[in-house]
Amino acid sequence: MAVKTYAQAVNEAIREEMRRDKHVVLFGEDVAKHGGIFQATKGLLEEFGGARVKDTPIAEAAIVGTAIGAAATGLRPIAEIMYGDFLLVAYHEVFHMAAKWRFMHGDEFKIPMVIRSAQGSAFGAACEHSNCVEPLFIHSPGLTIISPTNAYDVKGLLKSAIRSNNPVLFLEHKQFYKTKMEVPDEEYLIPIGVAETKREGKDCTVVAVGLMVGRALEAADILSREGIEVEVIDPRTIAPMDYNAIYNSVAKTHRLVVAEESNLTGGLGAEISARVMENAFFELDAPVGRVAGLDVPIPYNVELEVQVVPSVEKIVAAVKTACNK
Amino acid sequence: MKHEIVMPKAGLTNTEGIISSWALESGAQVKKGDVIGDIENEKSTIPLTSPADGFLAGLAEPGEEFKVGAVIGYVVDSAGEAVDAAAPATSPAPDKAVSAPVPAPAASPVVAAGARKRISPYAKKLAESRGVDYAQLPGSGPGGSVVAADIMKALETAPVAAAPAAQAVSAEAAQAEYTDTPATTMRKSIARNLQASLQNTAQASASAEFDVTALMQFKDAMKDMAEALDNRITLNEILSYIVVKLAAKHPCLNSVLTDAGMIRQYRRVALSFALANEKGLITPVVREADRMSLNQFSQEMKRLVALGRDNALELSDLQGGTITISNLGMYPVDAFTPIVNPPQAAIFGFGRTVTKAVYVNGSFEKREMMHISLAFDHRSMDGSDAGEVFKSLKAFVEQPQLLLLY
Amino acid sequence: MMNYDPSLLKKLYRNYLALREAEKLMVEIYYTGKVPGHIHSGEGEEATMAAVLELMREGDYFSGHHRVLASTYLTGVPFRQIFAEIMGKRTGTARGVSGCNHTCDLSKGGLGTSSSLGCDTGVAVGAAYTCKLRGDGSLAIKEYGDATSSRGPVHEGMVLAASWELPVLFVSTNNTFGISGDSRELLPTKHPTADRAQGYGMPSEVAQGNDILEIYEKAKKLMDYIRETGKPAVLETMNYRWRGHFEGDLCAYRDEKEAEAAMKSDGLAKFEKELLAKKIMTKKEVEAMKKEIAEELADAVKFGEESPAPTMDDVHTMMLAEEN
Repeated sequence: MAVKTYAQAVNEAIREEMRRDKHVVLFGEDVAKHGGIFQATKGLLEEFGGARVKDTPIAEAAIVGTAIGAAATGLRPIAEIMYGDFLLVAYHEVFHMAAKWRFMHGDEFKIPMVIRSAQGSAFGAACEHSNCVEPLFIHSPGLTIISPTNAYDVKGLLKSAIRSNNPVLFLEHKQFYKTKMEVPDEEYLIPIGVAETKREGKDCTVVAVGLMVGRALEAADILSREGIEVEVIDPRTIAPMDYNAIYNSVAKTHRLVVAEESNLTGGLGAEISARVMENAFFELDAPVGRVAGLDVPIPYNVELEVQVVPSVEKIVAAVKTACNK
Repeated sequence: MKHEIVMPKAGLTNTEGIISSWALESGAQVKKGDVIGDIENEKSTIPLTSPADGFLAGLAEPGEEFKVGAVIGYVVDSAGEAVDAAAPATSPAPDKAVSAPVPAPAASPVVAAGARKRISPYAKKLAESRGVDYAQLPGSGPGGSVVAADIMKALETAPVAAAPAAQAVSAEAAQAEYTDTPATTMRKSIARNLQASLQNTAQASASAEFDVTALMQFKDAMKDMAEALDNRITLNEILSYIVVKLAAKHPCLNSVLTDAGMIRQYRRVALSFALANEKGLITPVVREADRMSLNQFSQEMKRLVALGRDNALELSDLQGGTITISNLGMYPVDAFTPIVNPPQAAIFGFGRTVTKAVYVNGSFEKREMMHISLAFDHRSMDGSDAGEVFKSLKAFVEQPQLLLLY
Repeated sequence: MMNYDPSLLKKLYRNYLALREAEKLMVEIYYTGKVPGHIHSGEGEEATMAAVLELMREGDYFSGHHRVLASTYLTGVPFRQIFAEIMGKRTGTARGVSGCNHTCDLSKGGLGTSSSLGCDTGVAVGAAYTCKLRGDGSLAIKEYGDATSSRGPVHEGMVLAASWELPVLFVSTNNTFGISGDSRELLPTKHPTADRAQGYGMPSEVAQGNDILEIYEKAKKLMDYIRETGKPAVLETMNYRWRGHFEGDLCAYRDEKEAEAAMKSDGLAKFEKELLAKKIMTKKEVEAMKKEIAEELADAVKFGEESPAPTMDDVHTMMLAEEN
């Protein structure tokens, strides 16, 4: 056990899996010699060599396509697409091909690949380098999507993702790489598809994703001082989502707020509130509240950016509305 | 085809008139514009002319007063056409006829006349299960909607009806053979729920007399354990815990048949138990009881009882039970059949402990005996299931150490 | 021709014939309502695959495109499975839920195809990466058309293959047309794939699409190069699309006379004539081969007709592989 950064946790996960299984390979832009622009893949080229750790030209569609071909023919590729926004250059390759190759071609195909990508706002990265892309991909049947929010979770989940026999989109928030936490040295895995209740409470459930998990916990502290106890659920896996954990929590608190960084329209909150309405309607004492990015491109000026990306205050306000306070 | 002959308007302010006389009889052939009678009003007598060609029919009686525009007879196309005689409408006298306009809805900004009562889905569910009539309940939620807190508040408020009803009792009633006191909301709710339980489920029961000698010894041992546990575990708590263990071991006790035709298996055991306080009867719930040790369970029950007596329980502590215990052992009651508490599927009833002489292994011995009954919903659980439950129950009371091992 | 082993020539002829007969039959069954989707006929363009796939070895991979769907027959997939898939039946290569472009078998080196043409270039590149790590001289073949060659992912795939030095053979069966677009007018160079190869540092060859032996020779040269050096190469064959882009396409956009002339110079007829003339094959042998293939194909269609359709259960269970 030691205090490690999220980036180090990612590094350890990849290293351990590459040691364990020689079919695991890693490639992407600047991942080998440079060690990744967030240093998450530092030292891997030195340990595993240039056959298994490779830099690519700037060719996202080919990077994802190559991962599919390699996965189909016996390797376990980890392909990095530098920014979540660039996944859209390879949208067809991810949405249609990675997710559906097995469906299209028969049961003998297995596509055990992981696409890692850094996403989210980063203070001045502007509208084409700041997006959280989960909503764009939950619509693709066959694709697993994971968004871990701390160093402990990211290591356990990345290992599970690498060992999965199905395609995984693994989203790491840019602002997390430097965050620190106690992470065991011994091997551990976190199962895919299982949410975690990061804080228990009886008055209102907040389902938060990515950067919003920390903000929801801060909001919970503020609200606790006013006598409102918030239960914070971090789904960790976005698809398939652990809806039962959410229904059970709503059955307890009777109020739900969903907090995400991606913008409101067609966001995760839209899907979660529809499901809760369908499956736990009679547990709701208030309409489901959604806290999400504004429906605007993320501005370049940081003062404006922080007004677009949801704040702790916005989460507090949404919980209070749900609690009729 | 019949044409209406109407009471004519004699002047601007004329509102009614009387048929003074008809010039012709029913059946007489007339042409449009022919004079067919005289109309008298407050100011004058005026002639009445036919509105069409045809035959007079259904003429009203002379001397009757009609409102201006009312039908007083008909002109029909064919001579034989049958027509009922016109008659004045049976409305109140003219000066009372104009009723006051329907009063505008109360100043509540939200509920327009005829609109649905706005209530959150959860509050509605709560109201229905607790027998609260929310139609007139004021709502504190957004837009004046009723929320769960409003239902809970209504449940706590003692009914005001007691006073007026008392006033309505006349001297005669005082000498009558009974007195009427309004049932409290809670009483009505209990009545509604239990009646519904018997009507909507197929309740059956099983009971037996159990040898609880070992269990009583176990209970006595709790006195010595009290210091180590910092808690004195009571018989009621032990019996409740046995129910929890049985529900965890036998899923049929912890499953219900839903309206949608599904067998709903609750994942955790949550034990409901009855507690009397000044408001009446409440049923606190020990949630996730199957995850607790006997000591943890005992402490949680004590906590709920303490809060319950002060009426300080949270809504969440009163909901979500999956099985109930009813213990009348502190009364001289040997056995009883409790009623299943909806939406659960089973309830255990414990009677008192009696020392008896029991034939055991070839001779009579002094044993502690207790009747235990199980009432269950036969729609989801069968007699043989109950039999299996009783086997386990027998094992638990005869070998209480099993509570540690299960 | 006399330098070739007669058994190889017979094999090449059989390949060519089998693909031709299969192409013709596909159009036929489409018109009798047996095919739920579209048929994009590759009649007249079979020589390229007939030759290239003959050079495939065990351990190699192949990804085709939307014409000459029966190409995978040459990798060992039975006609039955191919036709069942095209007819949308559960006994097909992908349980019938995928259809026309997905008639491959992974165990026989079939990688699969994206119906969004060219986007699967990377898939072949990825398979070539696996071949490289194996280090046994195996390679991946990616076949596509002239119009497809404009797609971004095709270039990205070529860049990556060149950058990593991967054993990929990029084969473009240039049949002159996209849908209505004439590549001779729309595209900047005469051989849109081979002419760009130099830009990626790859050797290239161009062959006539109706000369199976020319294709075979050039393909062999390139594939030997790829196996030896582990580096990618490009082959482009020049064809003329005989039928419409899809069945029902009236081809109003092109010159009928030119089309007629192209169809007259049928490479299969030419090859057959030469084999007979040089006494590599007898007329009897040719007839026997035609009969055998016709029977195999008729059996395949009957099999497809008698096979059950897939169910929603198949749809639900085909998406994800079992986890360990």
